[in-house]
Amino acid sequence: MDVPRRRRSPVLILEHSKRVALPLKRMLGLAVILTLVGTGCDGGRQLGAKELLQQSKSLQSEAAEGALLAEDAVSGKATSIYTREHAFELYRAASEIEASLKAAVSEPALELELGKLAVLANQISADLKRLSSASTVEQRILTRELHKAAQASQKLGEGLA
Amino acid sequence: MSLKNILAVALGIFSAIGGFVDIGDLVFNTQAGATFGFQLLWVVVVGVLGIIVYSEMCGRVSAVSERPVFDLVRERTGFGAGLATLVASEVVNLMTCAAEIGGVAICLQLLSGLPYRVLIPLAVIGLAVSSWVLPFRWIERVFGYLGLCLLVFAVAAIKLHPDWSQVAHGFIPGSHSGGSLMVYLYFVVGLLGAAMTPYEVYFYSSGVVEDHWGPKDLGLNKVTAMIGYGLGGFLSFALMIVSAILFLPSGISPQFLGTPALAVEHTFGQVGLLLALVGILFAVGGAAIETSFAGAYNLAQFFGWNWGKKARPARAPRFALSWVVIFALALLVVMTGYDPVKLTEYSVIFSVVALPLTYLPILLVANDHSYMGAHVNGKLANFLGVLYFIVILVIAVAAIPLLLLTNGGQG
Amino acid sequence: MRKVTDVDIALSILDHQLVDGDGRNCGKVDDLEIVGLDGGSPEVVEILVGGNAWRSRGLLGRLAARLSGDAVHVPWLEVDAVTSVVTLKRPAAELRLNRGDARWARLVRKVPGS
Repeated sequence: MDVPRRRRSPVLILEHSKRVALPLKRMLGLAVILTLVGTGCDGGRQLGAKELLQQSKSLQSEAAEGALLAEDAVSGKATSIYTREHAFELYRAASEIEASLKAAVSEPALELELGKLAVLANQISADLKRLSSASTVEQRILTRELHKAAQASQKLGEGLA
Repeated sequence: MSLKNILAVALGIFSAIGGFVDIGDLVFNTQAGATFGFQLLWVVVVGVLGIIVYSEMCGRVSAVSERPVFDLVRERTGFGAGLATLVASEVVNLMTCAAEIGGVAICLQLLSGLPYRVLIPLAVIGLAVSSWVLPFRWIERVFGYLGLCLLVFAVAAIKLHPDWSQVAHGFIPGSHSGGSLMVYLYFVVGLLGAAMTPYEVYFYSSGVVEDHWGPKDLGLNKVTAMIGYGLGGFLSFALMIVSAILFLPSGISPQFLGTPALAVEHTFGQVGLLLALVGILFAVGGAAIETSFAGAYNLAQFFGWNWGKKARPARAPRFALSWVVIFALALLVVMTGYDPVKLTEYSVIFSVVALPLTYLPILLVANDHSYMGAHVNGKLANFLGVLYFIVILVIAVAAIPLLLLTNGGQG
Repeated sequence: MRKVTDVDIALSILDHQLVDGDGRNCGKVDDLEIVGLDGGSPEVVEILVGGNAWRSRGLLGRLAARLSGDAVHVPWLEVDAVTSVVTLKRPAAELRLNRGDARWARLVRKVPGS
C-alpha cells in the first residue's frame, strides 16, 4: 500500500520558537535607514557660529599638527618621505576647508569672522603645501608660521564660542 | 605542561597582542585621547573585559560543542534571523576589511612615498597572495610579531612622563570635561565597539574548532583570552595616553592614520616613526586578513560548506573564493577614495549595532546543557555575560543617533 | 515515557551540519520531508538540503530560495548517526551534495598554490 506523501514542513513550528532575534532584525533595519538619511542630509551652505567654530577648530588642528611635523622635520626626527606625504594630507584637508569657507555665506553678524577664517585657511593650506617640499631653513620658518596660525585659529574659535 | 608547550602558548599569546589592535582601536583611542585626555581609559577596561568574557565563552562553547559560533547562530536563532545576522555581519566585515586595506595603503605610502591609489591594489594583492600561498601559522606569526612593533607606543607613553595620578583618575568613570556629553558618549560607544568587534569572536571560535580544542583545553582558552586581549588592551591605553599628552594641549584632532605615528616620532625620532608605521602596517594588515577570513567563515558555516584557514584552497574552494571575493569587494570600496578613517568610524559604529545579534546566541548556547554538559556558564560567567549583554543592547540602540547627533564625534 | 522516534530526532536536527561518510561538510539540514502526520504515525522520509528547501523558512528564506536551484533530497536511510552533527553513510558526491565545492574546485585548482 502506498503511503500518502503529503509534505508537511515542521520548520514553521520550530522557527516560531527560535524567533528570539526578530525585534533586533527590525532595529537593525531602522538603524540603516536612519543612517542613510542622516548622512545624506546636507548641513547647508549658510554657516552659523557653531559651524564656523567647528571650522576654526579643524584649521587649528591642521596648523598645530603641521607645526609639530615641521618642528620634527627641522630636528631630523621625521623622515623626508613621511614629512612630504603627511604634510600633503594636511594641506589637502586645509584646502578643502578653505574652499568651503570661500563658497559659504554667513549671518551678517558673522561675516567678519568668516572672512578672517577664509584668509587664515588660505595661509595655512599654503604653508602646509610648502612644508611638503621645504628645505630645513624653510621648515624652521614654517614651524613658527604654523604655530602662529594655530594660535590665531584658536583665538577666532574662542571668540565664536 | 612541557617547556615546548609553554613556549608555544607564549608565542601564540604574543602574536595575539600584535593582532589585537586594528584600525578601529587606532582611530578611536587616538581621537578619544586627543579630545578627552585620560578620561576615557575606564572605557577601554570595560571593553577589554567584555571581549575577554565573550571570547572565553565562545571558545568554551566551540571547544565543548566542536562547533564554531556562526554555525550555532543559525541553529539557535533559526534560518531567517541567522540569515539577517549573516547579512549584517558581512556588511560590517566588508566595511572593516576595506578600512584596514586603506590603512595598509596609507602606511605603505608614508613609508615609501608611492601614490596611495597605486598602493591600494598592491596591498590587496600582497595580502591575498600571502593568504593563498602561505600556511596560516606563518601569516599569524609574521603579522602578529611585526604588529608587536606597536609596543613603541607603550614605551613612548612612559617616556612622555604623564601625570600618573591623572592617568589613574582616568580609570574611574566620572564627570568629564573638554567636550560635550554627546561627544563623550559617542566615544564611549566607539571605544567599546572597537574593543568588542564581532569578527574577532568568529575568527577565534573557528580557530578553536580547527585546532581541535576540546574540554581539556578550557584552561588554555581562558588564559589565551585573558592574557592575549588583556595585554593587547595595554596598547589601547598607550595610544590614548600618548594622544592625550601630545595632541590635546595643541588642539590636534587626529583625522589621519599617520597622526598617531607623529606622536612616536616626536618622542623617539626616525626609529620610533619607522617602528610605529611598521607596527600599524602589520597590525592593520593582519586585521584585514582576519576580517576577510571571518566573512568567509560566516558564509561557509551558515551554509554548511567545507572551511578552514589551514585547508588548502582546493579542499575548501567556496570558502577560499569567499575571502578572495571579500578582498576584491573591499578593494572596490577603497578605490572609491572614501577616507579610510571615516570608513573605520562607520564600520565600528555599525558593528556595535550588530553586536547583540552576535552575542545573544553565544550566551544562550553557553547556558544550554544539551550543548555544554557540565561546562555551562557558572554564576560569574552568567553575571558578566548578562551584564555585558545589557551594555551591548544599550550601546547598540545609542550608536547611530550618537553618530548623527555628534557628526561623527566632531561635536 | 514515550519512546524517542525518528521524527523526534529529525525535528531536533533542523539547521544542523551535515557531514558525509568521508568526514567532509556537505550542507545543512534545511528542511525535512515527513509523511503520515495526519494519520498519527509520522515517518521521516528525507532531508532537504539547499535551494528551494529554504522556501518554507520565512521571508528571507523565500528570497534566498529564488536565487538558488533545486534542493537535494537525501533519504533518511542515508543517515548514519546523529550527534552534534548529522553524519551520512556515503560520500557527498554519491548523494549529489557539495556540487558547489566540486564545481568551484575545478577553477581553484588552476590557480598556483591551491
